[in-house]
Amino acid sequence: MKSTHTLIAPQMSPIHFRLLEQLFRDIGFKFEIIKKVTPDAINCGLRCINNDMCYPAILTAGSVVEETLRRDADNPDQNYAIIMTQTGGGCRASQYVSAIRLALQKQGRTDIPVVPLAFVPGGDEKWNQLGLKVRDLRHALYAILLGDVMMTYLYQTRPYEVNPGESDGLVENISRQLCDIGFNDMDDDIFMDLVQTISDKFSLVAVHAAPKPKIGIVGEILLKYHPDANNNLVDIIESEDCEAVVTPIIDFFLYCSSGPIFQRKLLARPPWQAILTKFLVDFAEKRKTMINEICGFHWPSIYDLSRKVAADDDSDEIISLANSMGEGWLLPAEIVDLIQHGCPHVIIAQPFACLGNHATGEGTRAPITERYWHSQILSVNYDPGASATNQLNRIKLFAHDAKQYHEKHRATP
Amino acid sequence: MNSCRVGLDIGSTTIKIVVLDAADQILHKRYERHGADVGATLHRLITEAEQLFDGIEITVSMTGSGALSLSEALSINFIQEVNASELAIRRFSPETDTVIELGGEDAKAIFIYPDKVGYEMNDTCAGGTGAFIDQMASLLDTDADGLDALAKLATKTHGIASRCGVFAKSDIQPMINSSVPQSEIAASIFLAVANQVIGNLMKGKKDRCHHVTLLGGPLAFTSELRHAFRKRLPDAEVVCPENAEFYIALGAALASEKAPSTSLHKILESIEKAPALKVGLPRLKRLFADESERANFRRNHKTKIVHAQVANQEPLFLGIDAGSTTFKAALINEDRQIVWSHYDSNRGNINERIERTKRQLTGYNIVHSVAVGYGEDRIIKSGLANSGEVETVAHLTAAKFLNPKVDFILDIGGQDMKGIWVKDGVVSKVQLNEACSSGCGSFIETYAKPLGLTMDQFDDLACSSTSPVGLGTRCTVFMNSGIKQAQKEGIPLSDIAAGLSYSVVHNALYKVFRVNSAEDLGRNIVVQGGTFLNDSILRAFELEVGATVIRPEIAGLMGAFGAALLAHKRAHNPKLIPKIVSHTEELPNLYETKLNLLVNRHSEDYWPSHDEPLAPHNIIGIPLALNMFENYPFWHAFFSSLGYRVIPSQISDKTTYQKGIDTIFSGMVCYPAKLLHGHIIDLIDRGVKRIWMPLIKWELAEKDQKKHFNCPVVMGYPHAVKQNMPIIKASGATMFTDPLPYDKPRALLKHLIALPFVADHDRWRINRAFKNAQAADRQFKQAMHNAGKTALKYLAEHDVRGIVLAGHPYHIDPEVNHDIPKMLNSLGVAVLTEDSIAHLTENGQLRVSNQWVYHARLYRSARFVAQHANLDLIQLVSFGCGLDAVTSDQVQEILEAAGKIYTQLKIDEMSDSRPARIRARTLLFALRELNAL
Repeated sequence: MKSTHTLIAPQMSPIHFRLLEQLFRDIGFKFEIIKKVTPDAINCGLRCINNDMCYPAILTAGSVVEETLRRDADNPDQNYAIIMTQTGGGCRASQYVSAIRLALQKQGRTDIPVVPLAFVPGGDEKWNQLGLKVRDLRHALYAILLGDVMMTYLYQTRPYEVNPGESDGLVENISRQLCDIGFNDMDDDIFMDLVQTISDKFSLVAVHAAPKPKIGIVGEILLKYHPDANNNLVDIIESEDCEAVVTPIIDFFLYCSSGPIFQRKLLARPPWQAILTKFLVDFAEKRKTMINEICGFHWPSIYDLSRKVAADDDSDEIISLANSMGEGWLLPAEIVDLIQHGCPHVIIAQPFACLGNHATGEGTRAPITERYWHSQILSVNYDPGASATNQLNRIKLFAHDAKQYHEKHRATP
Repeated sequence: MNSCRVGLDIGSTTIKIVVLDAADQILHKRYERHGADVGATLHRLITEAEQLFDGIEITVSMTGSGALSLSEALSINFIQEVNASELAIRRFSPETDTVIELGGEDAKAIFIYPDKVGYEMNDTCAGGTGAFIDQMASLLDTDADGLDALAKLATKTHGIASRCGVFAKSDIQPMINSSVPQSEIAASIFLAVANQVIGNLMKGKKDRCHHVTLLGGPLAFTSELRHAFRKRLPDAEVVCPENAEFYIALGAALASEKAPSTSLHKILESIEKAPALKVGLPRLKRLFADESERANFRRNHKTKIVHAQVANQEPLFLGIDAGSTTFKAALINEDRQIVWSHYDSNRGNINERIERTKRQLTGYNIVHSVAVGYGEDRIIKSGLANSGEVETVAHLTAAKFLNPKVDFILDIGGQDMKGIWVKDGVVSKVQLNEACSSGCGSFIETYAKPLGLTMDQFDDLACSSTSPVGLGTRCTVFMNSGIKQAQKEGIPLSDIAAGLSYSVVHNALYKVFRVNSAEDLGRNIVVQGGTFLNDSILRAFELEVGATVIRPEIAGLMGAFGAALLAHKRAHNPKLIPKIVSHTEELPNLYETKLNLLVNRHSEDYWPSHDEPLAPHNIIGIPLALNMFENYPFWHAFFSSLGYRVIPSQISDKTTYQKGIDTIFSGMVCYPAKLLHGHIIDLIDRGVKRIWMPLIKWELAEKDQKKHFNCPVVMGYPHAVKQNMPIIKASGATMFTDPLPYDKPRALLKHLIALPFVADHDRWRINRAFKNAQAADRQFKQAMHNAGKTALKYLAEHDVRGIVLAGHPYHIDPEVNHDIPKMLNSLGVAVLTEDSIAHLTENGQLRVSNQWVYHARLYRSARFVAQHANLDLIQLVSFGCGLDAVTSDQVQEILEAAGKIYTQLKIDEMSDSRPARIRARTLLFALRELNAL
């Protein structure tokens, strides 16, 4: 497949996925991430995916199918394959592969392979069909972390920049440089140097000092990071003169991997799974700590996050760590972390028909505001037909609240 | 007078302006509907104010959903409406702790605390707003004021689904048809609004409201609506202050203090100078290039049906189609020519139409008469019809008369939409718009009416559009927002009308019928129903599917014509008259069987006797909801064996949902989950102090399953409910929702032993209890297997067809399945559950990842049905069940590969089982025909 097919992958977070695209190219794949989700792609999703599936499924599957078929028609002598994640959890995300296959089947294009990229072995699909090596996994971790560092700096800097466009330009420059360097020789030393470089470059951006009110974003993973899916939520927040706080993507991957650790006792999972995943998680956590030291971030570890929702005395926990379908316990944990770190206003980006989110997102709003009385949590619904005006109106209201809170607390520190 | 503060509230349907002096006195106020022309209305209101306050220095703020981009264009200070409400409330009604505000298209609850405000707003999909009331009023041929006047006369109310206008409609329609007094319907509508708002927006905070202030136009003008809210909030002081409709505008006026001063004259100038607002919505292909193309189109769409005069006393055949909103009749002669027809709105009074038709037809020699539609039973009872049939069959018969090769029929009526797929002359699939009416005729009317357009004008406008605007598919409420946005952007009405025509078609094709491409519809398409009399809709349909279709001249009459054709057939062959099935009560109904196996409703456990005082510490209550329909036998046996008395909550009924509605935190989850709230309250009401509903992530695996999850809602909901129901703690009860490794018996036992109320028992007793529990679980499942075996034997011996009504365990809840099993029995078929036969076959090749336990049974039961000639399958799907979006495609694939018909019934809160009945009857008719081939 490496030599014969061009792999088409869906977009999730432009900053991160640009690096991941490079990584796969460095491994030797012909690899293309979809750059932009067009209305055509959403229509394609609505036509070929069961409309009762959640918005992320319609958007993701629609965009890869549309892109692949379009490219296929433009370059008939090229072979295309679709690559899609297979999370293996209890939510519908684990059915993306089968949904895309059905969509292609209906178009009479069963010749286009759909390659699952499984996170965990043991599902119905053959595991690791791309033949990825441990080394590649480590490099992927670097890529995601570098993306997280850039993203965090970008959102911390852009609202305050003196020369508009400077931070965006910087991200563009650094991304290009990172892609030029490539991942083939990446190791801890090079990685830490790169983090230091990014940090240095951002520290040179001229900024206004006066702090702005902060608004945190949590939610379903695609909506949280993908500007085409959340109607440019970060831009809206910034245009309301606030700072958007988005937690790093790496935490989602660590949360996904850490199930066996937290559920070993709760749900009697095999100890060997816990030991293995703890090794992986700790490897990543160590790099996160180093980033915190260099950049002065306060990224919590996945263990810290877990303690934000589930107390040792679990009679009064916000959510059980056994609840790990979809965004599960990570979502409320991130809300609590944001609240505890000076960001009491949090938006949950929520797709219609996202089962997990409606139990964990909506369901934990009340207990969290009960515990953190000064906090405000707003859920914003997303859907192919949802009106941007409606979302905008809610976000404006929320920004107004955040500003009032900010003013009051700046006056009386 | 030196300076004034002006507040402008631009809502979705109205504009409010107030002028305040320095002492907070209202100098001037106006409340006007803007009829979508915000610019002109605003201009008029400001001009008027300017004359009154000429030359006075003012400050001004704007609020409301329509003010967002307008305030930018006019550089006027903007304040969000919740903030405006808060300001006004703190100034004018400071004792308030809760505000309920209804507007044209939104509903809000604002919670005023000393140090902050909290708020909840209606979702993009929700009833309970002014628009909803208008929509319901139009069903009764009146307006909001008329509804108010009617409701005053009511002596009682009825339950109406409040979640969404569509559902409410399907509850109201049968009431209208069965002649419930209009006053009672009106009062029920207001109660539904109050239920909706309180249920949707209070989210468990009801106990905290003591001083409730009602705001906004609908509440200010409708006394019975206020009354409904008072009834729903008996413990609070509910006030609707003077000027309630102006509060938000007042808040805006107060907020203007911070804005720079200006004058009304300057504002007028900036309105006049405002640049044409930008166009951001997508555009679609225009319907007709020019008038001649439309004329051509009209010429091509005149498929005639021959009309004739009645000869003296010749034999005639009558067909009547009493639809949800219309009453249609057709009379044909021996040569199947129409000699008389009738098309009218039934205005909610079907009896009157029956009597009139009887009078009109006296003297004719009618040999046989067939009735179809809503009113079928009543028409037969009245003697006007000899026999009945399901309307889909009538539509098919009529379409086949026009084109014997027809393979797809699309019927769009007032509120109903039907797609009928035909294969080799037999219905292969029927789809109706069970959960959504957004693509129907009344949908267009709902928009045309407030714009002051008749349907003809609307159609002409749409056809003349040069650049139809894309409004998206999905719910009517979304469409509202899309239209609002289009209007705000100054898009001409014609383009909006054409966009709506496209939306009807898009909704029908992609939302209701889920087609992928035009080929899915076949090559011989016949369209029917009054909605297709609009050229714009027919044209949009043709452009969308890229095919030419037949629109009969009598598109609106095809149901009645088809019924007349059936009458003709039956008159010549009486064998075709459907037989009344008798002894349906002895047909197997495994839904009933399973429910009885699960809980013995006659035992003492279920109904604790009153003489014996309950000892709360010795009782464990189990809510009969979600996975407890699977796990109850296990837990019942375990705790009973330990000496506890296990009490299940009462089987759901109409009141269960209402009991818990105040604490439901997400409108989007499925109905079976929402019922859990009511079950918990039921247990608490009965004095239960310990409620048992652990978190079960992994169920016991089904055959050959690598992964065996519960659904995310089944898993996560109990704990979330506990966190959102303060009443549990307040009543002194505890609810156990910790995770348990249910799929690993040894670990499970260890976890159980560690529980405080288990630990104090002897170890051997716990072990024995656990063994009993496992045995009870096995026995329950075995009993269902046996019941399946017995049912299959019955089918073979009595030559009866069986329907596997495939769903999830909680679908045996009669409040969830709305007695569909009994309805199927009444049609003469046996009903089996998915778990009574799934074990009899293998998984086979599956496209999807087979990772959920309840759902694994669906695939295997479908495979079993595929292998058996006397079985068919209907899948029960709860509205909002995302997992069934995955399973239903797979089940359909399995069945269709075997040449079977796939039918799905969507169920939700609404209890109208009519669509289910239509689908089931059509399926059975198709099966009869298939077997006759």
